[in-house]
Amino acid sequence: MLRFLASRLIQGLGVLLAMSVVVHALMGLMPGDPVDLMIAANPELTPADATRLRALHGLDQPIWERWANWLAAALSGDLGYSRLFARPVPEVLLPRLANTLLLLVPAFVISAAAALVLGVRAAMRPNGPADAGIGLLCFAGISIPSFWLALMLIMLFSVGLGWLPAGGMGPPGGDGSFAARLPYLALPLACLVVVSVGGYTRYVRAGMIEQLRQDYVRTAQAKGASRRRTVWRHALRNALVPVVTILGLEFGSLVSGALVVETMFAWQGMGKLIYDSVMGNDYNVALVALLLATAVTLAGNLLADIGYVALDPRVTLGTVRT
Amino acid sequence: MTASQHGLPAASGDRTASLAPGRLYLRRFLARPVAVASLAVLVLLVLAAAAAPLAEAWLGVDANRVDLLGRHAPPSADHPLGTDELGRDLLVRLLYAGRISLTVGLVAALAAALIGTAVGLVSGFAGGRLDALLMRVTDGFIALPLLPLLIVLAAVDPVRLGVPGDLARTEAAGLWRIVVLVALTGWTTVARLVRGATLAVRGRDYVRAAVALGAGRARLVLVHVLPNVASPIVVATTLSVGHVILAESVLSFLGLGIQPPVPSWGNMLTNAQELVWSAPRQAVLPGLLIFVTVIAFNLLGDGLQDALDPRSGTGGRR
Repeated sequence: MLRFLASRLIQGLGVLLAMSVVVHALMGLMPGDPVDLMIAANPELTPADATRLRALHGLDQPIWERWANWLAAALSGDLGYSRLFARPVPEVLLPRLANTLLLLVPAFVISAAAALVLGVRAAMRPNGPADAGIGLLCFAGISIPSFWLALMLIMLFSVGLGWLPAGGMGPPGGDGSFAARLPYLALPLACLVVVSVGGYTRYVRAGMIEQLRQDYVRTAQAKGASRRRTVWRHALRNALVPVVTILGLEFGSLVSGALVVETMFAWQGMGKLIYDSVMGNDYNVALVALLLATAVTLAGNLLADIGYVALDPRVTLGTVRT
Repeated sequence: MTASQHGLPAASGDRTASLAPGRLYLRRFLARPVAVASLAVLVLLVLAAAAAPLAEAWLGVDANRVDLLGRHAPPSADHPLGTDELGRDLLVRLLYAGRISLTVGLVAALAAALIGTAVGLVSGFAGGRLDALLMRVTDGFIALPLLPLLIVLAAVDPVRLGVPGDLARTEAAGLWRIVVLVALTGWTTVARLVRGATLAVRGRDYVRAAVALGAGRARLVLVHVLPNVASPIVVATTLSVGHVILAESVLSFLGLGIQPPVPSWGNMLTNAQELVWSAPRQAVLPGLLIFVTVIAFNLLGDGLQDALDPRSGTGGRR
């Protein structure tokens, strides 16, 4: 177990390192560097000043050296300074990470729970009316553009009915209690659940249909176990094994979905921060935020692997016992 | 599991056995009303988008003519769906946007299918370390948060990649850029399917016989493997058109995809957060068209999967 965790941790660090190289290279290709922006903001800067500023910030060096410098500084705990927010990067990032998790974790739990119920229900009678209905709903969820769904929710619940706020993190004036923030959480959460539950349900359904065909289900029923017991106790437990792995892999698309939803509802999370910082040439923030989003995704994958072991007694981490 | 077990009358089960595969597939496809309806919707959408200049001429409007006095006009004889925030005809703009979104979707999905097929074939044939490496990369692609990465990629300035400045700023270059970007999101499913199918085909006796008879790799791939993995490729490509149109619309909506004044369904919604209050029709229609198009491609792909999969009965969905 420990060895597996250690190897996955090293793998994860490798991915992050590779990612930091790629993102550095890409940022070198973006239009305008911070000094260009200073020049645009201050017409009195001479070309000589600009050259001096580039040298001061290390912007005249090749990408590799800039990356090496960044890495050395990052390892010593210095992640740089945010240009947009004029604060050290970790101070900008950590509250945003907390906000995103406040959105992502409930969205994931609700989607997964709903998918279990719907998927099992659909698999119990494949091609029956319930299955057809659930299938259509799944496709609707998979196919709906998340930003448009957000718009429609705002139109219905905020503009039309006036029940829920159209965006923001909590009531103005800073009442940060959870109850006061709940109405602000409702629409973004609903949006994320709708766009992810369809895919999850299809995985559960496929897994359940596969399991319900197996001999052990027939055996259990022949020995007198009720339909409900065979479905929920015997088949579901086996169906969950592949499903958990896929859900872990899907965590990345949930992080992607959060970016859109946060932008739409002005939810001050990581996704909105990544978008704002890329658009605002705030490279220091964009880089670390991207790495953090990747780390969150990798952590989701790792949790899925651990869940896989917990569910399947034949598997020990790293090897499959046969 | 035979067809008759799935509720197909035994008599027609016997009859289908004597049909040529093409006819059999067609018959199985036509037996799925949802898939047929989706195809009909898509054909209509494509025809409507193709007819955009006709609609423009017939209505006597210019898609790009700004009319600041006629902003947010309600539907009328001149403007069947009214006008947008710059007084441009909404219907004609929606049709032109459809051209862009559908073209980008189809071209990028085909490009993604090519990448995926290549990766899948190489992986399935080579096996060993190369296979493991390619599948790692594929898994990694699926697991990574792609949208944030796409945003960074979309922000890259093509001029710094060595593309001449005046070429980089043309409309066509903008289109190709977005095609390349969204194709990067769609190839993974195809790659895994093709790899799986290649592995399965590789072990079959007739392929081993071909190898024993001295068939080269190219012949193996072209004659024996590709025809057998064609149906999963068709299905996965159809499904990825939906993904790709969604990806394009999100990027365009965020201002990183198709650039105005060229309309796409995504960028028509860029200002929609204000439109929700002032002109709800404008906020609803482009998104509705994206939704209908994507769900039609997904349902079509699902129907094709059943129709092309010899193991599924006529009524069976995987």
